[in-house]
Parts: sequence; structure tokens; C-alpha cells
Amino acid sequence: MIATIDWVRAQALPDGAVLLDLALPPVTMTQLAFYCGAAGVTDPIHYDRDLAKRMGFKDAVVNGSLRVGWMAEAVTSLVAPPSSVRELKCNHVRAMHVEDTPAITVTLKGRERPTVLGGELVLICTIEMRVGDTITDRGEARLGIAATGAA
Amino acid sequence: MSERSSDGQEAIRRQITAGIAALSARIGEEIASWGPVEIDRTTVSRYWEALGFPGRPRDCEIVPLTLLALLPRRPVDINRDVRPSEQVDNALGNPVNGGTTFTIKRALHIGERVRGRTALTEAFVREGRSGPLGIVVKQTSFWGDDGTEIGAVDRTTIYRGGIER
Repeated sequence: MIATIDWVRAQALPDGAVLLDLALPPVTMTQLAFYCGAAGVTDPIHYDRDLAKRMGFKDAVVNGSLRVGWMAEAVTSLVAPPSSVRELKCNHVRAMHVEDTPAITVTLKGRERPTVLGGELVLICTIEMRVGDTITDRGEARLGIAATGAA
Repeated sequence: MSERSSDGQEAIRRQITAGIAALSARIGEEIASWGPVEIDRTTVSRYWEALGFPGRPRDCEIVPLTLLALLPRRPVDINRDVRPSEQVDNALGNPVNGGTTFTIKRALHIGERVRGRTALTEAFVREGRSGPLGIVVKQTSFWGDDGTEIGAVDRTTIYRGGIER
């Protein structure tokens, strides 16, 4: 279970603190096919390995939206309630393929001070996803931490 | 560089410039609107399982924020890309994902009905290392049946020009 960040912990965390460092399981064709069905994704480069290779990819391509979904879940797991995620920006740097084993790191970049007494403290976090030593995705999130513990 | 590739570069420049100029005149235009769509528990459960993220969600009544971005894509039509928001820029070739930004105003709960509207928000040319790039940003805004704003998703697409793969 990932520990959530409450008001007290948010105050104490130093900039640069690693909030989450998580290895995901290897991506399988079953997962990609299931995701395409669940998400309404229709591009066959995600579920047809032969076609993906004919189009010049190393193998079936992991959906960008699936990678965004992992990044979103990573930051959502750090706060309660989940709606405390105020903003999430994601950029894909490199392609990811089936059988890759991604890992996600979320780091505290800084914070926005509350503008009113008792207001919300907003943590700014960077998100990095990688396969081995190669960075595949970068992102940034703003997480709202309420003074009362409830957003 | 051969004359032919130079001609090719010039053709791509014309394609990008003309395509972006056509889109620039349509900034703010609605590309698609849809809904209301009810977010049912089965859809959310399938999405959550498909993500395969370790652990379980802390609050099973709240819809994962990234599912919002996928709502306009339904229903599935296998082997065809039916995303309505991408039909506006067919004249530009070779798209790559330029990033996604979610802005969240409030939580979306299972059982709520959602409406969405996609608009063209930016279209401009940027010089890349190997030539001009067409940058197109579309924003989809989401709101509940009660009229309250849920959030927005900004999608940036970068077009390199040339023939579609």
C-alpha cells in the first residue's frame, strides 16, 4: 500500500524527495488487447504484432493513453481523495513495446503556497517513466493537499 | 541533399503551411460534441483492470481521470480509427503524439452522466531540425448533466507532413 501525502507530511517533504518508485509488470499482448477493447482504441499497431513490425516498429506498440493511465494512477495513489489531482501533463519521449517492463518514479519538484489561510497546499511533482535506463515518458502533476485532510 | 529530396522538403513545407493556415481560421470551432453518456460501473471496472496498475483504487466510486479522455472514442470499430476529433486535420501527414494535459475541476462519480465538447484551440507552425512541423491542439471539455464543469483534456498533435503511413 502506497502511503498517501497528508497536510503534515506535505509540509515536511523536501524538494527532490522521491514520492513513488514503482516497477510495473511486463506488458503482455493480452493486456494490450484487453486495454484496446476497454478503451475503444482501434489502431491495430497496438494488438497486431505482425502489422506493427511491417510498419517499422520493433513490436506491438504500447498505447500512449495506457502509459498516461499509469502515470495518472501513480500520482492518484499518492493522495486522498483521488480528485486531489488538479492537473496532469504527460509527454511521450520514446516508443514502448510489448514485453517491456516499465517503471515509474514520482519526485517532488516544489510547491505552491496557499493563497489564503487554511487553503490548499499544491505540490508540484515530476513523473518519469522508463524501460531499463531509457526514459519513455515525462510528466508533471499538481496535487492539492487540503489543510483539513479533505479536499 | 539531392534535388528530389529538396523538392520533397519543399512539398512538405507547402503541405504543413497550407494545412495549418486552413486550421488557423477555425480556432475555437467545435469539432465534435457528444453525450450525455452514463459512466457505468462495468466500463470503469474494465478500464481499471485493463490498466493493470498494482493495487486497487482508493475510492471505487470515482472514475479514473484518464478514462475521461477515452469517452469520445466509443464505440469500438475494429481496424478503423473512428476518433471524431482527429478528422479535422486530415490534410496534415504523419502525426505523432505531442502530449496530453488533464485539468480536473471535480471528481466524476460512477453513475453520473457526462457531456463533452471538443474544440480546436491552437494551430501553428514550428521549425523543427528537419523542417517545419504543424502543431495542433484540441481541447475536450467535460461537464455533468447538472451543468458543472468536470475538467478538460488538451491533446497536442505534431504533424511532420508527407504521406500517412
